[in-house]
Amino acid sequence: MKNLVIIISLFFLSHSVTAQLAEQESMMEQANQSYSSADYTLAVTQYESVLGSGYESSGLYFNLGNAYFKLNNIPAAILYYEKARKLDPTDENIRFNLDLANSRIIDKMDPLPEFFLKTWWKSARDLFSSDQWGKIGVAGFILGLISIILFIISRSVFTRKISFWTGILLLAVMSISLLFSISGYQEYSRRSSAIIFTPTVTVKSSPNDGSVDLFVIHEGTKVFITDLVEGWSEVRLANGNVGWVKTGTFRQI
Amino acid sequence: MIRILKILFLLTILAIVALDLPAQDIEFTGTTKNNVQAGEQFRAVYTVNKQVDSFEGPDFEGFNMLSGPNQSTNQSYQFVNGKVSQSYQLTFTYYLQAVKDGSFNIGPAKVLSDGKIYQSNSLKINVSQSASSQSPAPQGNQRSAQSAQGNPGKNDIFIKAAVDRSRPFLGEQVIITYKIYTMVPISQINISKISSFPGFWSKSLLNDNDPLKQSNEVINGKEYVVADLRKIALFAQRSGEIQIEPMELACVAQLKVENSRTRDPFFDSFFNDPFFNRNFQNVELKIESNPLTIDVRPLPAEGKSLDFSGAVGSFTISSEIDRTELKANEPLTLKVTITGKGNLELIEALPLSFPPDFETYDPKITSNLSKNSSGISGNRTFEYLIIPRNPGEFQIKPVGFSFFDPARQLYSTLTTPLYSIKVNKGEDEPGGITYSGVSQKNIQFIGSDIRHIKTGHIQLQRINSFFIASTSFIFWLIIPALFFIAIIILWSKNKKRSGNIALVRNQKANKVARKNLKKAGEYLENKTTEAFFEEISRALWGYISNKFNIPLSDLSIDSVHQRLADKRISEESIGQFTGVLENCEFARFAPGDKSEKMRGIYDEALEVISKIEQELK
Repeated sequence: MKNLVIIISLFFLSHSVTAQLAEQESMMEQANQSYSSADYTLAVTQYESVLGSGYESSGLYFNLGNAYFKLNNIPAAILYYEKARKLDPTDENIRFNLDLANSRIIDKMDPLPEFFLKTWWKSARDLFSSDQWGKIGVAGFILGLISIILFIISRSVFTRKISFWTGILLLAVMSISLLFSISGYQEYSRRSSAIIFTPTVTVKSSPNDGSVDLFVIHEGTKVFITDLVEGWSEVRLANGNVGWVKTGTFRQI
Repeated sequence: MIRILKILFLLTILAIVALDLPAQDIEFTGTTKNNVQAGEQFRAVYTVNKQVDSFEGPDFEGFNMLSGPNQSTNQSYQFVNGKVSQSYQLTFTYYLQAVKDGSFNIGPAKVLSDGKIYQSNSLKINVSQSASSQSPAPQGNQRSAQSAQGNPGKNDIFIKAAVDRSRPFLGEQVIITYKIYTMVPISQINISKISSFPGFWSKSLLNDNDPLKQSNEVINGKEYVVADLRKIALFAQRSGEIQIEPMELACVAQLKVENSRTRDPFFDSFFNDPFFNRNFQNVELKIESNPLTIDVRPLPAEGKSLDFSGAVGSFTISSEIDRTELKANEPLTLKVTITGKGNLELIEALPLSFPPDFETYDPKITSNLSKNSSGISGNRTFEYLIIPRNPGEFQIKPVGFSFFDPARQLYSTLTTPLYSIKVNKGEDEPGGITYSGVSQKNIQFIGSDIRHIKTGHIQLQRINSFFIASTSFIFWLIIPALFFIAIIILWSKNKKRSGNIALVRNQKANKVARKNLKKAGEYLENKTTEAFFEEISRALWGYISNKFNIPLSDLSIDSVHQRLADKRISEESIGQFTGVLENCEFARFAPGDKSEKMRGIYDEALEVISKIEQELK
């Protein structure tokens, strides 16, 4: 009886969710139209309203980033391009626009070289999004189980041999995919990177106003947040420099 | 007209008498004050009544020779009752200063006249030490005594140097005034040596071209004409006792020379004419002021603030900014003005700290100083030109200007206000999209410091709509796993059930066959032929049926052959097995005596079953 209630309520919930989703999808279409007719301000508000209703997608972020870029709001554009890239690391268009937006900010950054294994790991992970890796993992899991069943049931030596090796391979694929998926999810949920939004930010040596000024960064620069203390955040730049900025000066990706 | 007549008259007489002037004896004397005080300036005068070819002064050892020998001549002719008398006086004057006390003998001076050397008398001077020796205050009796000599005395003309405060603080304004006091007319004042002020920053308060302001002053009953020669504002740059050297001045004084000759009351009125009598003498004088000692006190350490940079006086500060909201790359002007009295010109630009991203230039410094008798006052303006290069909200933080007020003997600090500046985006940024690169710059480092300690903050994760973190993912794992487990369980149960019958029959096949064969052996003894063959046949068929789990009804010679061949039983054994089966069937239904065959079939059947059993293993 209890289960039945849950199932029914889930059904209604999913029904209302799909209704809302349809509404937002039409809003997306309107926003895209506004963008096409060069009404970027309207497009931004429409995209933001979709975002505000609790939906996200790499396409939405990408479009919103484009609208901001057209309005010459480079930091916001970079922020949304980065968000889009997080959800879909494979998309070449997102990457291109992001690079372009990054070339229009004030601070030039020479990134610190990374350990090659980390680069490999990241580039392998970014072949697919976290969700895609998750689905690949589940598929690998199911197929792996089928292989195991075949292996156990089959009386034919040949079938058994084939199913044994495919089973092992599929389970390995599953574990790696799930690791990638978890890693991508962690990176997203940690929200460790941010874009500076305040036009000019003086980076301090410690989290108080009286400390030494280390250097100045400008809006649009990407930083990695490594620590938080009341009202202050420790940030690391792509070139390896570390300092403290006020928490309100950036928006997390 | 009368004067011209006088001159003509005199010239005629001169022409007559010059020829037979009697040769006078040479008179060469030196005079000076016999008693002087240390530091006092006095004169030594050598007089000779004849023209000389050269003069050699004595060595004034123990004295400071200020100037000399200053040569002057005094010549007069007198014509009294038809008798002409000539008076000639050549004077060499030395200005001396007594340095130390004691008794000094000054050797004779020498003159060369007509090839002969004449010596003057030697002089004896007693120098006594006196505290008031530096005081230029005139002393009446001395003055009159010197005046009687017809030469300028130190109390006729002197320079007095005075400071308004003798113990100033470091950096405090001191006004030094040089005043000339004179009782005789002077002209052509030429300052030959101006005092140097070591350890002071000086600023003259009087313009060089200004005419000297004269006033009258009475000192000890004598009326002097007083003029300010120099007025200088001094600002001490180091503490301690600082000596200021005297100032030296050359001037031409018009002195009235009183002739020692007896005067005729009748002619006095006639010859007292300045031109005619030539009793007035233009004497070039060198006079110098008194030296001064200024004891500069160091500034008190108490209450001295960090931003104190040496300003001493009383000041006020004001600042103005032309705007607080502007666009990037537009200039901004911040003016800081310090107004007051004191060492204004030594005030350096305030260390205003502008936001690091601002482009700043060295301030334009303008001083508007007014000099008056009370010192230097005015204002000093620092004009900062600032260009914000990037938009944002900035603050120009207040900066303290600290100075020492000598009047109150306290430090005071004034601060500029805090300015908040809003820099908007500049207009030069294009509205449309241009893909040309914006000029980028590397991050500028302003300072360096150690990194902050690690704080044990634990970042909490948010739940997002990620597949990997969703419940559906769990279901996707759990449901296939459950299916998998169910399949495995079902399969193994089924296998157990079906597998048991076959296995049992398989295992029992040999046993059953043996049992049947044993029965057949009993029939062999009893010679019951029918039952024997039946039993052998059952044993063999049953064995195959049990062993391979095939129903008896499905068996035939061919299928047995087939099945055994599948199990890789040798062709020989198969042949033997089928041979036994065929013989058995043949014997059952064939007429005749079968007893001999029975033994052979029985043995063969036993043999082939154990053979096949062997080969199946």
